[in-house]
Amino acid sequence: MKKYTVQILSERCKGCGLCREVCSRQVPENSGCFNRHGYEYFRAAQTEDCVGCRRCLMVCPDFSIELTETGGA
Amino acid sequence: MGHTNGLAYLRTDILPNMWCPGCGNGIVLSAMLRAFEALKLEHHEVVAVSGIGCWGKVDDYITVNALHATHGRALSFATGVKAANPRLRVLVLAGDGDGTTIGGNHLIHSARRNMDLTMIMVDNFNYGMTGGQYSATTPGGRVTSTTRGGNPERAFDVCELVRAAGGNYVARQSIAEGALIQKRIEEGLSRPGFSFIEVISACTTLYGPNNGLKTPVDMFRQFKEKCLPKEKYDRIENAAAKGYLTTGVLHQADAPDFLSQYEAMRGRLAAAKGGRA
Repeated sequence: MKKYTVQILSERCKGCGLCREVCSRQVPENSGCFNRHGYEYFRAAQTEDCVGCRRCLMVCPDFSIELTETGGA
Repeated sequence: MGHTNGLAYLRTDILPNMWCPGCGNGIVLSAMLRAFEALKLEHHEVVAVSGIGCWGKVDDYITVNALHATHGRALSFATGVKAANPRLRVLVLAGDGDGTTIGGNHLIHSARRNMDLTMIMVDNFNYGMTGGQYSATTPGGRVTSTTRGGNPERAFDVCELVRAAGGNYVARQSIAEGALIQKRIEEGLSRPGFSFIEVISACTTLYGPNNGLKTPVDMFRQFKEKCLPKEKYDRIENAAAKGYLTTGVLHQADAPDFLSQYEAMRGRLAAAKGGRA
């Protein structure tokens, strides 16, 4: 199994929640924290559950998600 | 890792973008940039002509050549760009207010002329930037800031309009289908003649909340439910009256585009004059 790391850039995220909506593993979750623009941003919680489907990348309107492959066979 | 993300065409230095949380514009922008990367487009061969409106602001975020035109006239400026330098790939980025309501006549004649342009119309069913007034694509009965009791008019089927006017490629997708939007843009850019891609999009601040869809996720779910490929759409009774929309490639043709007709005409005239144009 390939492994992936998901990172959500808190300063770009506006907390719309579409990434969580499309994620089959609910990797992104509301952080409960606000960024300097006043948005309650999301963070990647169970990043080890990511299957690398890239749906969140295609739905994020703010280019705030970074996905990296971190090994595995 | 080696996936397409289109970031080479994105101005990351001015992010976050100016659009509201959950706005579909960012999703379409992301799909468009991935399409550029998939087609291996060079920056100097692409010109994006945008109109006025929320989606019209898209030219701020791209690193290809951009021209920000007057309200409703993006197609006319783009026609000039293409006619002056036919080697350029010219995109027209206009919303429903700009592209069909203010600039509806330009849309009809660009399609009739079959100019080799690719128009991406983000349809959020209202004039977002000016405060959510109704546009020509606002469905009947819907609430906007200028139709508080519901819109008494009917909406345009813009895809049908472009098909009837003579466009070579017509497609519709919703923002719930990012990968397909990218595919349609690639197809539109690859086909000569007028290509028109309508993207059903969310105005999460005005149109959505005005019509009982309080959050971006609510709007997203509604698009997933209501925007269906033709075979599924056809199985629903009175689908149009219930607010369903067909998605996918709706029309394809290979009619000659304006510039090839123009060059052929010039060639004939030159031959008649003994080889001198």
